[in-house]
This record gives sequence, structure tokens and C-alpha cells, in this order.
Amino acid sequence: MKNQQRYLLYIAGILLPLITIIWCCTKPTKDFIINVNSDIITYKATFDFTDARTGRAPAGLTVSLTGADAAVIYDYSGTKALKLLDGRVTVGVHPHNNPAGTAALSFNIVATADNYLPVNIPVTIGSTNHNQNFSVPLINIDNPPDGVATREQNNAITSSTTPSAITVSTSTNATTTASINLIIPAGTQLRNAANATIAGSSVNSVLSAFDPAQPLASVNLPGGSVQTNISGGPSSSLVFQPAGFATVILKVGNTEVKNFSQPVTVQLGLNATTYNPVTNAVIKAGDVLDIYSYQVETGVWKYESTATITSSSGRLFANFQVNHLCSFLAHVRNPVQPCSNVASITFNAPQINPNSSEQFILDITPAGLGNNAPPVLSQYITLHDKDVINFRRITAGAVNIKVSVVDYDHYKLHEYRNRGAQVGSVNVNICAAGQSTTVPINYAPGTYLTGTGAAVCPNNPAVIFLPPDGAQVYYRKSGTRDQYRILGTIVNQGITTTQLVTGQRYDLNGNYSGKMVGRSDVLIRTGVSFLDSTVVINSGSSFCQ
Amino acid sequence: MKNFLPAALAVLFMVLQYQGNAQYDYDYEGPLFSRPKAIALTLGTQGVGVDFTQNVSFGVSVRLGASYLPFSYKYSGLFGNVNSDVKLKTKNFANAHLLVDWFPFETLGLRVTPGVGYFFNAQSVATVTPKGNYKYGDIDITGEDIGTMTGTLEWKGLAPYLGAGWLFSFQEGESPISITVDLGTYYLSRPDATLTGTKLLENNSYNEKRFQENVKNYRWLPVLQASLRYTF
Repeated sequence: MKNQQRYLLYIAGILLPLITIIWCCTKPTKDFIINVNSDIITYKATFDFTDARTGRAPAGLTVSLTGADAAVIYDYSGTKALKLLDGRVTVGVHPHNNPAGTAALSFNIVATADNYLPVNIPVTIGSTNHNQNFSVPLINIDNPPDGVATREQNNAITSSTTPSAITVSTSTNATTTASINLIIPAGTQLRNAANATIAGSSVNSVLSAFDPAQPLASVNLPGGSVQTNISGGPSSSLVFQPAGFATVILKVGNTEVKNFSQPVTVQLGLNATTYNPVTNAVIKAGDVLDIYSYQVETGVWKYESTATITSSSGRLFANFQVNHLCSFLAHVRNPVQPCSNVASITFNAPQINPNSSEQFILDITPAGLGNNAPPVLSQYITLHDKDVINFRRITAGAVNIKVSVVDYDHYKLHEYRNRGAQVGSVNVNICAAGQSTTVPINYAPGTYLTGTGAAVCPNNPAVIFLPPDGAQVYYRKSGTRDQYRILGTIVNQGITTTQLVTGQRYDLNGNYSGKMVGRSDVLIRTGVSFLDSTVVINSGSSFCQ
Repeated sequence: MKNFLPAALAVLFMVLQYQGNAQYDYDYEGPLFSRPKAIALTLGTQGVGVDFTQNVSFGVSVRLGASYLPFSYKYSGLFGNVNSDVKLKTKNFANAHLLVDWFPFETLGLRVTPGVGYFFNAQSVATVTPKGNYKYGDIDITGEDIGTMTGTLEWKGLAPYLGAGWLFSFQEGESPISITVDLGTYYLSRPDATLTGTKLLENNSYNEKRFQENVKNYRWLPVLQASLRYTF
């Protein structure tokens, strides 16, 4: 019996540690928070709609999608309903429909707001276009920006017909570079898109003319200047060089006038400094222009006619007749053609942090359209050594590729004449088959600061969302009413940037896959992540419950 | 496990009643390799293996062996809040060991075994694959779209061992065949823990730190092993 007690002691001495061992181990998944990468949508485009004069988001803005592939385009949060926040919306491709190889998806986004000119922006997403940004300044009819002339007028009508000739004109003076004059003859029936007469007692006319030499014109030019799907005319593919551009909207009640029973006369003011590549001089009276029209609803440019430039009181005009209303463009014929290849460039920038989130603006401007030609493409890029970027909708032949720094004062994509420091520039024909172009970047980055960390739900801090790669973060100086401007794109779940100043306070916000997050009055300190404790500020759905 | 341990205690207590008869009647005066030796096939929580035992003196023998654990098991369960298929498996889970068996009682088969093992590149891998259908806004997401998450623990290097066992002889020790049962544990090196994900589960470095913290004490490898031994 004594021996048995000793045996028991031996066995207990072995077993007790074993029991302790087994029970002391922590469950491997204890305190796990499963982070399902919210970057489900990996091909996306962000549109920043602002009032062209004030820079603020227009009130009552609505956006919708049209076009061939609109069915596979969703809000960044995965819903078909598009979610605008502060005039900004990000849409993306359904993950089962991501573009592959040389295939591309195309769709249009249409934006409307009361008292603003509607816009229709065509978008093409190829397999390398994971992130695209569009800066869209909208024209307030009552308060247009410089370079845009508007006129709103009401006239009585009888039985859907103009009792007398109606003339609507934007005001002009000696320095006016944008104007339009519309003359509707007496006895003209006003008809809708279905060509049916519209009942009403008055017609409301809104005319807007753009100075083509101003950046706003190129941004508001539907589809941009590189066109490959023009209906009718000499060619379905061309690169617009506008000498004049205007939009005409007539309404009877709430119904838009689209057609007339007889032609109406349009006199479009032209910018006399427009370069004519055919004559290698500025345009002049007697030069022949091509007139094109554009319907927001169809998203297609259509050839109308030619127009010979006339001169009056020292100003140049294109006069033409149409029997429908939309946007009109007077195009200067030129030899520049769209590029039919997928062009690409590679960056040489070994000095840039591989995790850098910093934004640069890349502009591509064709040669051959004069010294003041606007870029045919402007886009934000994150830039790292050996990064390759592919392009569509650029021009064939020689182009200038320019890379500029995005900083607090130089961030608007459409303001191509007000860029930050230029850090790279090459002149090359990147469209040529087999062309391999390297763009050297001459940029000495300052001290990088990094923001990492999760966004938390305000009502449930246990629910977190990690910054998805590719999401964009915006910032402004605290205490100001400045527009939020782009700070960077999430790279490796963080923002690594030299644009924040130590000791300065900023308000931050971002869109983490449709989850609007933000943090105000963040003091920037060396070694402290500025994204920590970012909170979801607009849950939108139930993900914060 | 809670039911198993009392049962194991009871079984071991019962075997105390069995007067095992160790092989103590050999000649321990001659050259080392003329003394009793044995070869054994082993099966247990450290896998299958083979041991060679050489008696070195009365009540003391040295055991050299190796074992390999091929293990694979699948089940379905909740991972986080996600219904998932979980696959557990080992990879390269092999060790070589050198142990000393000490028989403290002349008339009993009880042995106490200190020793050391060497684990070459033992890995324990758990792969979680979400299943079912999910919604991201209006977008349908399948488990396949979500991807997989794989946690890997890797041990290598020397690991001390301490255990105890019982040698059951047959025919009152006259048979060369015997059976042993051992219970013990290795104390492994601190595991290298990694957590990787694919597709939508790619960004889980946040959890990897927690995973590493949670498994830092996964250094004990319990051994419950039976051996079929031939003495010569």
C-alpha cells in the first residue's frame, strides 16, 4: 500500500504538469477581429463635383450612371445607389467583371443640380486603371466662373409656337471671349425629344458659352477632347480643338425643348487666339470650322455642318443653323488623331519611398495643337520607382508628359495652368507601337510621415475597418473652411506622405470602401500615426451596428 | 479532454496492480552492446516512429529514435462570425530523440524518462476557407471570392523531454515482445507564428500580431505513446 501511494505520487507528478500545460494555452484566435478586406472593388473612379466658382459642392447634386457597362458599375460601398458626400462619389467595377488584358469597360456618369449645367462624363476603365479621378467643376447658371458667359431668359409662346422671333444672347463687351446668340424665328414649333409639340405659355432659355482657352472649357467638354465615336462627318475619330463651345437648354414648363419645326440660327463667339494647325496661325475670318453637337442623354457627339468664320466689331463668330438643341462646338480641323494603342510609361524614381501615398498630377498634352493647348489627360497618380501606367484616350504622335507635385495649394486636376512643382517631363510619341518610355522623376522628398491604424465605429469601437489599399484620404487645415483636398492613396494600409507639416493641425477624411471616415483637428507629430482613432462618420448602412 | 484525464488516471492506477516484470536478469558486466537492447515501433501523439533501446546498466537504458506525425483533419465551424471550413494538418512534423529510461523500482515496469528531442522543421497549419454567400452592398460575394486564411506554427531545434511510462512484459519476462506506454511532454522552442490570407482576407497583419501573442506559449508537446518492443 505504501508503494502504491508512492506510485500514485509519481504518476500525479507527471500528469499534473500535463493538465496545466493543456489548460494554460490560449486559444489561437482569441481577440481576433476578422478583417475582411473591404477593398472588394478594386477598379474605381472618383468624381469630385464642385461649383466652378466657389469650389464647394453644389446643393441638390444628383448623379446617375448610363452607358454600355453601367450595369456592372456600383458605388464603392457595393450598392447600386450612388452615395455622394461633399460632392464626391466613388464608383467601381463589380469584382466579377473586372477588366482583363486589353479589354476595357466604359460607362458615363451624369450629374445634375438645380441651376447648374448638367454634365455627362464618359469613363473607360482598363485592366491597369485601378484608380481614376475626375475633377468636375459645375457651372452655376446664375453665378458662372470667369471664362463662362451665361444668359437666362423667359419668352411667351402661343400654342407651342413662337409668336415672334426670339433672340437670346449672352452679354458681350470688348474683352468677351465667349458668347452665344440664339435666334428662333417666328412661327417655330417647340418640340420635345419625341418630336411632339410642348404645351405651355412660356419658354425658358439658358445659354452658356465657354472660352475654349480656359481650363473650365476642356473639363466641361463632354468626353474630353479625344473622341473615337463621333456620329457622321469626316471621321468618327478626332481630337477636338474648340474655337468656341456653348450649351443651350430650353424648357417649356419642365419639358426640355429638343427639336424645332424649322431651323434656328446660332451665332457662336470664338476665341480669336485659337491656333489653327492648318494655317499655322491663329484663326481668322474665312477659315472653315466643323460644327458638332452633343446630347447629354446620348453621350455622343454628332457632326452638324461646316461654318465659315465671320468677323464683326473685331470679334470672330461661327454662324450655323440647327433644328435641335444641345451643346455646340466649333472645331478647328487638325491632323492630330486619337491613339489606337494602349500606351504606357515607366517611372524612374528610386528616391521615392516604396510605400509613398503621395499624389502627383500627370498631364499629357499633344504637340501640334499650339502652345496653349490643354492636356488631353490629367490624372492623379501615386508614383513609385518602376511603376508602369497605361493610358487610353490619348493622342497619337508626339506628346508632352509632365508630372507635377500635388500640394496644399496645387491640387485641382482641371487647373492645368496652376500646377505644383514640376518633377518630370518628356516629349515622346508614346503611342508608337513598341514604344517604351521611361520618365525620370527629379524629386527630393522631404520627411515622410506615416498614418496607419483602423477606423472604428463610434457606437461600437470593437468594430474596426482597416484602410483598404487604393482608398483616398483627403485633408484640410483645421479651423479653415477650405475644400478638402487629396492627401494620398492608401498604400500598404497606411498613408505615407511628406505633405503634412509637423505641429500643424488638420482635418482628415476618407472613403474606406464606401465607409466615410474622418478625424478632425489632428495634431501632426513625428512618430505618431495621424490616422489612429479615425472614426466612421457616415455609416450609411448597418456595418457599424 | 476533461473526461479523458480522470479516465487516464484510473487506467494508470489499475495498472499499478499489475506486477510487470522488467528484464533485470541480463548480464550487465560485459561490453555495452552485449547488454540487452530492443527495437520498438511507436505510435502516439508525436506520430509514428521507431526507437532503438540499449540498456547501459541495471535499471537504466538509453533510447534513440525518430518519429513523424502525418496529421490532417477537416471540420466546419464558425471563424469569427463566418461559417468556414477549417483544415488542420501538420507538415514536416518530425523529430529525432535521445532519451534515458530509468526504472526506479526493481519489480515494476514504471520508468521515468528525461531526454531531448530535435525538431527539424515541424509545422502545424490551419487553413480557414469561408463558405456560403455574402453581400457587399448589392454585390453577391461567395466564399471563394473571400479567399482563405492560413495560420502556421513552426518549431525547430532542440526540445527537452520529460515523461514516465510503463513496460508491460509477457510470459513473466520470458517473451522478447513487450509493450510500453509513455506519457510526457516536450518543451519546444517558441513557435514562429505567421498568419497569411488570400484575396479579401489578405490584409490581416493586425490579427497576426494577436495570433503570435496567443500562441507564444504553445511550447508544450504532450506525448501519449504506445510502443511494440522486441528485445534482443
